[in-house]
Amino acid sequence: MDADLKKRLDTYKQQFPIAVKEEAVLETIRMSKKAYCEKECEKMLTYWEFLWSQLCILRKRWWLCQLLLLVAWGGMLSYMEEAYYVRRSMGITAVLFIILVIPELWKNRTYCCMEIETAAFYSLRQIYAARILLFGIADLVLLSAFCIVLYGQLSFTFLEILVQFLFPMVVTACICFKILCKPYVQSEGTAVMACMAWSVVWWMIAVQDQLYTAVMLPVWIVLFGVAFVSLVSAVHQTVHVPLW
Amino acid sequence: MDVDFLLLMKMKQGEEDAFDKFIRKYYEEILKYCTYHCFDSEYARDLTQETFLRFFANLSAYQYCGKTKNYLYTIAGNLCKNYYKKKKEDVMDKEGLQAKAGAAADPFAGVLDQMEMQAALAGLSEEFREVLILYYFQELKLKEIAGVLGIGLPLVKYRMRQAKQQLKEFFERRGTWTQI
Repeated sequence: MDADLKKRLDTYKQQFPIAVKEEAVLETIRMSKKAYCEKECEKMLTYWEFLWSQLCILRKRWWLCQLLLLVAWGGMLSYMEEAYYVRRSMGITAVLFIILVIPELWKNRTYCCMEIETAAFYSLRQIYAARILLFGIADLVLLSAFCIVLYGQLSFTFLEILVQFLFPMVVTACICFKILCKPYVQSEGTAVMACMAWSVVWWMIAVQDQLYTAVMLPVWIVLFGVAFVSLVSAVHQTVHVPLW
Repeated sequence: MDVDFLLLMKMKQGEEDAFDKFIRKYYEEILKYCTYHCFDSEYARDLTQETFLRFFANLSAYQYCGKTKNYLYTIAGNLCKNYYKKKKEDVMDKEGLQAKAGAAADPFAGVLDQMEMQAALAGLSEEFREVLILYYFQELKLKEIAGVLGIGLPLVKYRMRQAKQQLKEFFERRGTWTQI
């Protein structure tokens, strides 16, 4: 049966030749390119998809480092009994916490990928806005988790955390973003050095009990407010003013 | 590295030559497949073009896993199924084809044999016809057919046996089987 059927089918194939027309091929090529381009033009990333793509691109090792830093500091806090040491360690941790963000935000400058990103569909400012937002969310989650875990174990008030941790942290972040906006500063080392210098200044303030206690709480709050406004301004500049 | 993978990468990057090479590589094969399904050269050309248009419209979402040809066959197969559905609605068309095939003792025997075979293929159920066309006309191996259709090898063999049996029965009913 097979041989008969095969013969019949072969005969049919010979009787029914299929010729490829060059113009049909060319038309298919032209239409295919057009279909691909049209579809690509329609395709727009939503803001969430864009944020997700940035999340995938960001290196998570720095978040892990921040987490380890908080864990290490949390572990050390339980052995520190004197407020003097706690105060100093808080200031240093705050500065280190922000310094760990620097490599990722400087990545574009370090690897000279500005041209690629400026040629991308999303503008550089949108890319930076997404990255800053992601870092902000991640840091907020880390710090919140840290505070919740240590709640009850440590006798800190919110105001103490505000003055001793959040204030130096916000000032450090402010220094980072201000330096990031400077066109003549190419190296992330400069930002790290500036943060370390601020850390030393803060250390000197924290160790001087006279100075520290002389400053009234409302003054600290005002200073924190000023630092926070400066940080918002620096972030705004990073995102809205054309960089470099 | 696989040629298709490189071509797809280049096409995704917008390299125009890659489109050219890719379409030329598969055009004839898909055209043959569509032609043996719908028996109409002009319509087969349209189906082939539509196959490539659908492929390229979804190119950016397509993830290469070494089966680009299978994907093209799947698109073409779906288009051909739509064609058959449309054809079935037009009952007169099929009846007309079979009526033409009935007159076997005509001087234009070649043409009529061709029509008879087309009627026989059209009379097969969809899955049997698919296996038969891929095996005899597209000259794919049974294992490749299993890959294209996404079914197991034993099922391909079963469908092939059934397709041959149905074809034999068709020709026997017409009394043309003994002629060969």
